Amino acid sequence: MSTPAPPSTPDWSNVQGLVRSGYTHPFSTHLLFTFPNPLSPAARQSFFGALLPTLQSSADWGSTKPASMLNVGLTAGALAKMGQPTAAAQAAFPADFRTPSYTGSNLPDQWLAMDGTPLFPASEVDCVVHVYGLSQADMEALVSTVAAAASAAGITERLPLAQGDGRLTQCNLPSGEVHFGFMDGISEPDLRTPSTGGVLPGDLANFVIGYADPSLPPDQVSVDPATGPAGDFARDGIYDGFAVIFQNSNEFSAYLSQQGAALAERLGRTPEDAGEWVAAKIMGRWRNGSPLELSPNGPERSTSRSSDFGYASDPTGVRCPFSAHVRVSNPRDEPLKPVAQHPFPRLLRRGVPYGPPPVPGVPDNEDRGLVGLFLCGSLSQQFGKVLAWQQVNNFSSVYQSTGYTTQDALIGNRDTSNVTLPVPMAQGDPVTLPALPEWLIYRGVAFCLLPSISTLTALAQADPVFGTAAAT
Amino acid sequence: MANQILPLTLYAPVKQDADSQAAALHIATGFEGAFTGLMASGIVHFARVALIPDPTSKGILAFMVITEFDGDMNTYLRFFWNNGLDATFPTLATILVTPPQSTDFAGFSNWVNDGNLPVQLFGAYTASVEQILACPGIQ
Repeated sequence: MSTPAPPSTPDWSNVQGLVRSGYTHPFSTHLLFTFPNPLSPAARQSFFGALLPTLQSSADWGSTKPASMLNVGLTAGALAKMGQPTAAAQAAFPADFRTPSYTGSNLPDQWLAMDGTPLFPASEVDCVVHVYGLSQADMEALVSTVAAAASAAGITERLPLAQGDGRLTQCNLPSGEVHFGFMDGISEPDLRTPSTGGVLPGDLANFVIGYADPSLPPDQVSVDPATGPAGDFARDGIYDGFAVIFQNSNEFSAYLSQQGAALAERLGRTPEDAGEWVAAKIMGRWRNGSPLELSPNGPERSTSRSSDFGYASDPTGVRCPFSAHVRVSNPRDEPLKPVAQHPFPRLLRRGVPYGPPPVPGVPDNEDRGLVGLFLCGSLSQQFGKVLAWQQVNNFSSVYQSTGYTTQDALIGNRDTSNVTLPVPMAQGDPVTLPALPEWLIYRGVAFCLLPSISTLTALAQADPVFGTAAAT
Repeated sequence: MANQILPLTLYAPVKQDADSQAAALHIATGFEGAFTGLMASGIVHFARVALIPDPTSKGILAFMVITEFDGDMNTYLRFFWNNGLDATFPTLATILVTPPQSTDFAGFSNWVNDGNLPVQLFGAYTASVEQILACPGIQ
């Protein structure tokens, strides 16, 4: 069955709202569900029917923010249990969605408790519902509605946390801040369409399903499925590497204190300032967001939201170490090895912190971290590729001097006890930050599709059909 | 952090008509040339194509690729695709008993993943290709 050529830009009212921009609603909860197998048509209708009234699209909501709203992610397991689209169409989805690989990417195939105890297999998470509210009451009311709809449909909610009600509920930190005290979400791809026929590293074709050049130029991510019934089901959707990441703020603070004290004299800073220098070298930005490339000596208000910089003028890593988190996760103009060059991986990040904020200087045993939504057009070519780069820094020859043995300084599985961060210095010997702890630990992951509004609407109908114009 | 070295053991039965059998021979020869280019990726330890003989006849039963590489499967497949396989794959698809759903990259990637046997026929490396080539005296 032929699929009509899509327009060059989506109808944003058909794309879930999280895709076009992050929300600033201060309250959110992220609900995990396991469908019965099979999920009956009646149960499917009732569940998705209950979600539709508050399902938020990417269309401009004007001057009045919705008091509460939601978005929905479905795994390949959900499609299989629903029998939607057909089994043949499901087989046309990319393997990285159908049968996710956890090997080598530091991702657990179980959801884990804070102490590492397995809670439930990752493969049992079929659906994630992201609920947002302007007030706690707004959010809680919609959470109750969603939970009741799931219960009525025989759908089981999974509770990944031991604290509170067990759900992944957003922590209210200052806007844009995460638990280690850094500003987050500064450098985001935009969804421009190419104006000159080329493919921009962050453009629409690399993220939203249905807008790719079928000839697949090397710089373009293969965003699939593009055609047939599977393409109809997926069009205007986006993939989501949904991940919950524990942040060990106690250990991070302790490390900064230890290294700050050890390096204070060498750096000519107070121990506290030297600790901040260590934090910045690990991240590649100061906590206020200033990138080391633009503000090598300290945070500056004028650069705190800057993302217009590269690493070409810092070929030795004197300003920003090669293995700093932001330099690994987005190497910008760093020369890459041929096999790593195409396509260049970018992610749309829509995370929020969970768990209580740490009190400075007061160690505790609280469960806190990041509820991460890493949106992409390909789970393997973007999300998986960045994770692989973080695990082994081997994508650029700049790592040759360390024998390709370093990891992302902030996140890595630290499967040896001697993961270090070499910090080149303008004068004198390099500093080596020793024995980097495993500060960030993946607690669970779900490989989701955020389907279009029309697909979710069809799933609330008795007999959805994908693969005809009428169904799209 | 250990280097991730992955095997790919792809087994794909080939149609038994004369044209498909002849095409299999031709494609296998072409693959050997493509593998030479693949070695430029700096991540491939080895790559071989084998035509599995049909024990009941003189024909070819299946097309087989045996390879081992550093990193993740999709990076490997995209490099292979970007470096010439995009032109060969549509022809290969015509001779397969179980053809891919499509002859674009998605079809290729799914075909490889679905046909990848959960076995490793040969593996001898713990270091990455780059680390091995950096050893004194090896080039």
